Amino acid sequence: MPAVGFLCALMFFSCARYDAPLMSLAAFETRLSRTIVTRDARTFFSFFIPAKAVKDVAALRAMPFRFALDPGDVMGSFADKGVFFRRIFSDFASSMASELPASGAYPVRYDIHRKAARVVACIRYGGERSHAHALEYVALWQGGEWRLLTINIDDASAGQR
Amino acid sequence: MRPYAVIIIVLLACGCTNESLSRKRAMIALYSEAITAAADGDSAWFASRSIDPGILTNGFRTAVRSNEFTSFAYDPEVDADRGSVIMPAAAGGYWVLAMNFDESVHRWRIIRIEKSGR
Repeated sequence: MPAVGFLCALMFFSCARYDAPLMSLAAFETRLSRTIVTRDARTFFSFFIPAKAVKDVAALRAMPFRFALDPGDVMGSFADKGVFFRRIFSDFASSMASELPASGAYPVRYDIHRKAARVVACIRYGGERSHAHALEYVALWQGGEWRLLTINIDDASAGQR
Repeated sequence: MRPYAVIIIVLLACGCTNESLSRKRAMIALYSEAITAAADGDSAWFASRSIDPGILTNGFRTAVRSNEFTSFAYDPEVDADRGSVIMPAAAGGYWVLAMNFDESVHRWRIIRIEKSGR
């Protein structure tokens, strides 16, 4: 029993230097990309935070990241087989599900914005010239976990493709 | 295809995924340690990693304390052994933490912290 207590204390102090939102971001992003590659729509939808659960929307919109569509708008587009469905889940060669390697070894960029206790991560996959790079997944740290807030499409930033 | 071949392929796929995730996590962990050490003014942390502790007196610490934006880039397609973290400097420009993955000890090292831009 003392050994267990010692190990717990050791784990606590070894984790104390780390930032919880940051440390769990890579795991969230990996789960997100895996659901895209496997076209697991049910799990993908479960990542979205319900629009009503988003706290202090006005403060979030004041932060320097794009938040044009709320989670309901994005999921509605999927349901209608709209642009988000075509760009992420479809069988087109340019869709993210077709483009990302199943191995999980792909370029990824996290842009993290902080304002007081609010932390938002904008995640982009693929090299700058890839189709995947044009999609920006915006995740919100709320209630001790990452949830998907919105997705932005930004073809202009994807360079010449 | 023989069953053992399928098992090997699955194991290789899982291995690649876990390797990629663990590298990303390890990179973030090192960054997290570095900014905590900078915020605390822990010069011993930097010295023990062969980084000039003088970095704490030239604006990096201020940037860490007021940091509202950080950008991580990890690109295994181009070079799996390199990563970078970018954060804005208070007086303009950016701080760049360049990292290399040391295969021999299987961990990231900060090879350079420098200010770029204005």
